[in-house]
Order: sequence, then C-alpha cells, then structure tokens
Amino acid sequence: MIIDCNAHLGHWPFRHLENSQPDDFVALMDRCGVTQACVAPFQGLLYGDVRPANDWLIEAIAPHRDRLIPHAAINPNFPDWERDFGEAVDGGCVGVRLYPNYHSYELGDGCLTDLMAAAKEHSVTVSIHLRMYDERLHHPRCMVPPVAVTEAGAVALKFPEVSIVLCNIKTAEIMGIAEDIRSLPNLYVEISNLEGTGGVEKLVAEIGAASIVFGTHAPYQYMDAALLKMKEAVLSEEDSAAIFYKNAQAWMTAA
Amino acid sequence: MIVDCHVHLHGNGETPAANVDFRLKYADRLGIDLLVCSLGESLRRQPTAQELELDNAWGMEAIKHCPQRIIGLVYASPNHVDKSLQLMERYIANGPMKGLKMWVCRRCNDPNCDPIVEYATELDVPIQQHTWIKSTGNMPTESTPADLVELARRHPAAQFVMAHSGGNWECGIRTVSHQPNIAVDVCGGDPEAGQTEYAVAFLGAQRVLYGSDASGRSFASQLAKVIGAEIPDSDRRMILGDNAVRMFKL
Repeated sequence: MIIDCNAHLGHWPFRHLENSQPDDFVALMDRCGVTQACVAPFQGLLYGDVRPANDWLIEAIAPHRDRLIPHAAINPNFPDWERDFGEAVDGGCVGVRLYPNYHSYELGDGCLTDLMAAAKEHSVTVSIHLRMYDERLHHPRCMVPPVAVTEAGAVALKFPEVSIVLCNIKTAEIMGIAEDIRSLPNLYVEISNLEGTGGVEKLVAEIGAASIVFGTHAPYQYMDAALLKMKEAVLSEEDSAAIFYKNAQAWMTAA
Repeated sequence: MIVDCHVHLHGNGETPAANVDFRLKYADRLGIDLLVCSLGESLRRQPTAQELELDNAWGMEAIKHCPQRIIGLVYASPNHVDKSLQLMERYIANGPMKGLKMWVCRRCNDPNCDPIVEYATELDVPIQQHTWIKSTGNMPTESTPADLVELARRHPAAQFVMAHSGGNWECGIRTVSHQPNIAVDVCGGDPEAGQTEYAVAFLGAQRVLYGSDASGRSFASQLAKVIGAEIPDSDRRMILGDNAVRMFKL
C-alpha cells in the first residue's frame, strides 16, 4: 500500500501539466502503484478567495473518493477564512494545505495560530508547503521566496494534537530542524524534494522513519521520482511501511 | 544499459575510490551501469592551473579504481587554455577519458574556449557544457543556452551536450532546438514532469541523455525524468544509454 501525501489537481498557473485532472491522475496512480493520494487544488495558490478552488476539487474528485483524499487550500490571512475552513471540512476534507509564502504570512504569525486551533478542533491534518517549485525557475514577475521553517517546531509544540506535514522541504532545511522533528511526534516531512545520493536512507538515520511520509508532488513532478528514491533506499520492512502508508494512515484514523 | 552521463565524485569519502564505491552502491540499486564523471574532490568554480591538475588527477584515480564502470571527462578551463590542452592530450589523446567538461570558469561564448573546442573536435570527443537560465540571476561567468549556441555555431563539427537542459528547460530546449550539434542532458533540476517529453518533441530522442548531477542530485529523482516520461520505449532506451554510448564512444 502506498499513500501519496503531497499531490495536487487542477490548473498550475505557469506551465501546462499532464495528468492534472482526476481521471488522468488516477490512471497515473495505477501505473505507479500508488493506492491513495491526498490532493489539493492548484488554484488555491493564487486565488484570493480559495472557496471556488476547493469547491471544484470536491466535485471533481467525487467519482474517485476511494482513491483521492481531499485537502483544502486555506489562506488564514484572508478575511473570514474560518468560513472556507468550515465548508471544506463539511465537504469532506480531512486535511488543509497552507502556502504561507504565496499568502503572505509566516509560521510565527497569529493567523496560523488561529488556523491550528481550528485544525485541532476538527481533527484536520495541516500540510505546509515551503515552496512549490525551484526558486531559480520562478516566473520573473512572480518570484516567491521559500517559507522560513525555523518556527515549525514551535507551532507543532503548541498544538501536539495536530499532525503537521512539511511539504517540498529540502534536505538542508530538514537538517536545520532535525532536533525538533525528532522530539515532536506530530511533525512530519515528506520526501518529494529530497535530493542527494541515498537521501531517504540518510534521512531515516537522522530523524527516524516515524517522522517521514511518502510524497510525490505529482503531477508537477514525475510520480516515479519518489518511488525510485524509496527503491534506492535499503530500509527495514517496518520503516518502509511507515513511510509508504502507516504514518499517513494514523492521521486518517484520528480524523 | 543505463549510462548516467553527469556525475561528480566528491563529498562522500576522503578518496576517489571511496566516492566511487559510495556512488556505485546506490547506482546498483537502480540498475545504472556506467557513470560519466567530472570535476574533482570539491566543486572548484575557478580552479587555478594547478587545481585543474589536481581535479583531473582525482578523476583519473577514480577511473583506475573501477575502469569498467567509471568514465572520465577532462575538466577544462578557458582561463587556463594551455593547461587544458595539455590535460586533454594526457587524458584523452592518450586515454582513457572520453570527453570534456566545461563548467563556470567563463561563459562559453568566450573566444578562449575556441582552442579547447578545436582540440576536442580533433580528438572527436563531446563537450559537456554547464548552462542555466536563472530567474534569480546567473553567476557572471555562468553560460546560458544562447551562449552555447554561439559557440556551437562557430564549431559546427564539434559535439556538445548542454548540461541541465539550460535549467529553465522549456527555454533552454527551444533555444538550442535548431542547432543540431547540441544535445542536452536532463539532470540537475527537480524532477519536473514533462521535461523529457518536451526535449524529445523538440530535439528528437537521439539528442537527449540521462544524467543525474549526483552528488548534488539524486540518481533516483533524475532517473524518474526518463523512466516516468510518456515516450516510446525505443526513445527511452536511447536516452538512458544508447545516446551516451554513441557520443562518448563507450
């Protein structure tokens, strides 16, 4: 069993992407052997009001609800975001995706604290995207720096009941907060932006498999990349299962 | 046969042999047969002539450790033309290295590159040239795909491999698409879906090579660009190995 904790659907604003609609994406999952995927709408990145993006997602994936797990894009820096959050939860979203760098707030800001409180109340997983793609390739009129991750530990410490996944995080950023990750069981990283030789193996040695989840960042990235990273790693069966699905399943059960 | 045409051997051990062993351990798990390697024990962007000697000696030691799987490229610098020509004679004309690596010593349209490219043409070996287009700004001495087109037009008999497909691969691939003596490797960026399909569409599969840019990048993430591409298997075979075998005469 494999659960992809970092996928999107919909319209990516800067380039045409194949497999970004539900039917095609499920076919891609079938080819790659991915059982389920947590999906959020790309449109949530740049829309001011994210509700239409989330509405689209929930409707579009309805025929594939056994495979696609809806995550809502939420901007806690937008007026009346609580309504968007509530509607997303009512619509079946079991997680929310945050894009602090696109929505102009930092992890230490009060708006995030408010959102975390709501996530706690509704048993919703919070995934935070540190970036969406390589800063060197950004559209020259839309250059967005990565999220500073240093406050992630403080947020996780304050809300131990909420599972937090740091998405699109690079190896050096993980190492910078490795102590926090090791000590906070509700703080996870996913592997889609992990690089270097033997990256997954090294990461397991550094922070333990209990803090790592499988993520592909598909369809923006080739789904095969994260799978090959796992193939490259020699892991115990227990660690492999934890990363591929057991850690993610634990949140879903809690939700 | 899978040939990784873009590998560096640093950062994973005190010796070339230790770095080779480390890389091959992971290459084996992914079925990668040959590693085409360049640069030295560290990434020296502006090596002195003496450092060029050291870096190429490092590469030579790596080849000696595992000659059946490590293929070497001479690290050449247009800042040190005489030394570069000397190294090419020592390591390519007399063997066993199979081509040239030019990185960021100067932009590759600089006239100082000409004697190096002329000798590579005489030796009939390809030149792997780093290129990037960064919206955050290139280094002053970092080449763009347009720079490489200038160089390639001056040397139509030379064979170039444009490293990283120019970074911004849509722009890079389109820039070189009409210059037939430029092939591209797919390495060095995130595994963005569509890159390999785009290269095949505009260049043809015979001008596309798999590379990883290990150790900075993962063998796995970069291999996925080819394994996961929606292209015919015959194209995939060319990109994974056949093109490298042909160009580097392996």
